[in-house]
Amino acid sequence: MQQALHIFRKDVRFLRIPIAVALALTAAFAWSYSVPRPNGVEHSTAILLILGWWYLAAAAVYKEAPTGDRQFWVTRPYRWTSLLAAKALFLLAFVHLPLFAADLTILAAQGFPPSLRTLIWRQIGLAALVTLPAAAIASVTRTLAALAMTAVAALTCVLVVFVEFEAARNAWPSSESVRGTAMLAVLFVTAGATLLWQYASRRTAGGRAAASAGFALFLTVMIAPPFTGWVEARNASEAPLLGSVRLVAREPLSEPFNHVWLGIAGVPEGMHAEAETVAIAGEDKRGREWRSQWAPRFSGRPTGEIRWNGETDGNGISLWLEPWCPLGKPPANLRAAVILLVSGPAVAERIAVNGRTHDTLIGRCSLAHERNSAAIRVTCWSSEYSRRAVELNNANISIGPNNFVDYMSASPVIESTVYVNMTPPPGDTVTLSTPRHVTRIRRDVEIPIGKERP
Amino acid sequence: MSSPIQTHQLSKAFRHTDAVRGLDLDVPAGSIFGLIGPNGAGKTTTIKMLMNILRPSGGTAEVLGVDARRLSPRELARIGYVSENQEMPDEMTVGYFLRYWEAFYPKWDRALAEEMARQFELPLDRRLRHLSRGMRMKAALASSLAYRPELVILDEPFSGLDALVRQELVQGLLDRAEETTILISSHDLAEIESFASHIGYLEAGTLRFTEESGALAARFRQVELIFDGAPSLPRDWPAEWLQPQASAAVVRFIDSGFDAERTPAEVRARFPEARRVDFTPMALKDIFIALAAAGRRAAAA
Repeated sequence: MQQALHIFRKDVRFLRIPIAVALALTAAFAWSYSVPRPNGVEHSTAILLILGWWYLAAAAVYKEAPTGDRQFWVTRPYRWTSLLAAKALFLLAFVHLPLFAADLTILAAQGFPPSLRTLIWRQIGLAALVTLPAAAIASVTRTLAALAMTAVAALTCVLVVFVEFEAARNAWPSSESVRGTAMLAVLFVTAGATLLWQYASRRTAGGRAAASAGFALFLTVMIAPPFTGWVEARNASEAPLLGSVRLVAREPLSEPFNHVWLGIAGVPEGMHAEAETVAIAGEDKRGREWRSQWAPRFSGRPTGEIRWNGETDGNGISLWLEPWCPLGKPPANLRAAVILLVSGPAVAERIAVNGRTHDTLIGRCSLAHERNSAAIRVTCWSSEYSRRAVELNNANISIGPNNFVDYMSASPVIESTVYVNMTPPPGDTVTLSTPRHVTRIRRDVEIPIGKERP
Repeated sequence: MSSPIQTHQLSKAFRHTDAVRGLDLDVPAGSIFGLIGPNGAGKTTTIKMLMNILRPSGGTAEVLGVDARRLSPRELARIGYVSENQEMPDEMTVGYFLRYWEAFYPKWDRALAEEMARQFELPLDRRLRHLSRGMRMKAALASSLAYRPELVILDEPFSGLDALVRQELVQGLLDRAEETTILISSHDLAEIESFASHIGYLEAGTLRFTEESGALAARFRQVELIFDGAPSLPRDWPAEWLQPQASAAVVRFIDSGFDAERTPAEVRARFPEARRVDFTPMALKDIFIALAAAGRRAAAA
């Protein structure tokens, strides 16, 4: 430990300027999230801060680079465990602890109690996304230029896969948290294993191979579909809760054999059901089976083999099969499966618009007037807001998941803020309506096939 | 006392190139062992394998009684290593550089470090990046001797240095030579000759010979024969007679196996018409040049 501290002190001495810059950026980041939103500056500080952390992590590793055979330290009596501990201590002291302090500052400034579990998750996310990958790449490269090129190449791969395999990734949005967690875990383990390997053996070819294999696994997880099965299994247990809810085919599939019209029946009075994701399966006339990916609601971009849209309590679900659907025209038989989100009647709460925090059904929230009297700032500290849509003043103003801006998307939500313009302007209190008890259920239906016209 | 460095069939290949082939090296304790050879002979590769910077492709190397692949901080604390192309922590001042190592070496002698800094006239407050090459080598040597290592390994330490700096480095090294074994690689033979007790000659990755310096100097002679007429070279030219040259009335060659009793008689027997025969002792540098040239001719053939 004494040697680790000695190396740590040396690194602090010779990296004091980048350390000061990183700490200043962390302070700016904390300030930008602690005050009423100053026109998006928090995004700039967050990006600069992440770049600063990458630089700091790489610079610390390069002070005693594991790669190469000419470094001053490789023939000196360094213990690799001490060297690795010194670098870990450095990152802990100048990246992780400052962010932890910044989180506490932000939460205190906004009147929210700190959640140790969530804050630790944020630290793990930071390690998986920033400090460990930066240190791992630095440990298998020799210069900042090489590190930057590697990072850009990796980012390009991620973006290409992200765009090219969007359909697979979006098959079931509610399962994406599983995928995200798995991706973080792969990054964490890969970067950690690469660092351990490099510091213990300094055999860079092996380190690079391990890092490349881990990155390939990361990309595979990014596009792999199996999480839907996991979510299905998890939700199957909830299915019996709402036995009356069923899926019905409103019309048979008929020429041009690409449109299916579904309805939801049996939704109890006062409850609300909406489709989350849809899949179809069937056989062609030769008996060959085919099943589509789970598809989210069509949002204007092609996302897979099927598209659908519509409201369950309005006109039902319209489902289009893409022309290249391999079932042929018409298919021998067709089945549809729909995952439904069913919620209970909304509960209304009166919340004072005074900037203080209140316990609500979606978590602890505060509402405050903006300078524009028609606008209010809603800030909620919640771990489950994304499962609920809330309304303000019954004025058809819905605050759903898409309206919230994550404080930082690398972790479970700890704070979300949304600005809402209201007509008429809100008074001293606002009615917050929250749907009670959301259940996700799966329903299947056989779709009759219409007769082919001569 | 066992040898601080021993290798057995040590080899290193880089893809299709054999940098070191089957090296059997034994550096006696207390010796100053000069590892010489032309550029590309494999000296640096050998030293890097001894220091566990490179992993051998085959064979074994033992340093201070430990397999070189398993050199731990405990052994490294007993070894001083200086290389011409070693990177240095450029942002450190010389003073900080010398102080920094105190925590790594249980036997660090601060007084000795200060004494060497004075001897080498090192500017303690100047950053390493602002030092001349010679000054950097002095700082590296001081930091590698201040803990009185049992073994010092120097890889081309004099390369590119002026004569004065070389002399200062050699003097600094010799002042502490009694306490340690030194392995020094160089193609700068003038300095090696002045203090090396043993010489190993490496060529194309192969150790051609290893010998005490005195014995080496004793077995090499420049031979010059003067004739009254045009000389003719015998057909059965001995392999140990290197670089034969014949002109109008003179034949010259280098005898690599000189024996004061046997060689003159042998020369007389092969060149009975020679009017005069001179045997001149050779400097180590000339021996090295002759060996290198012979090696290249053999490789070309």
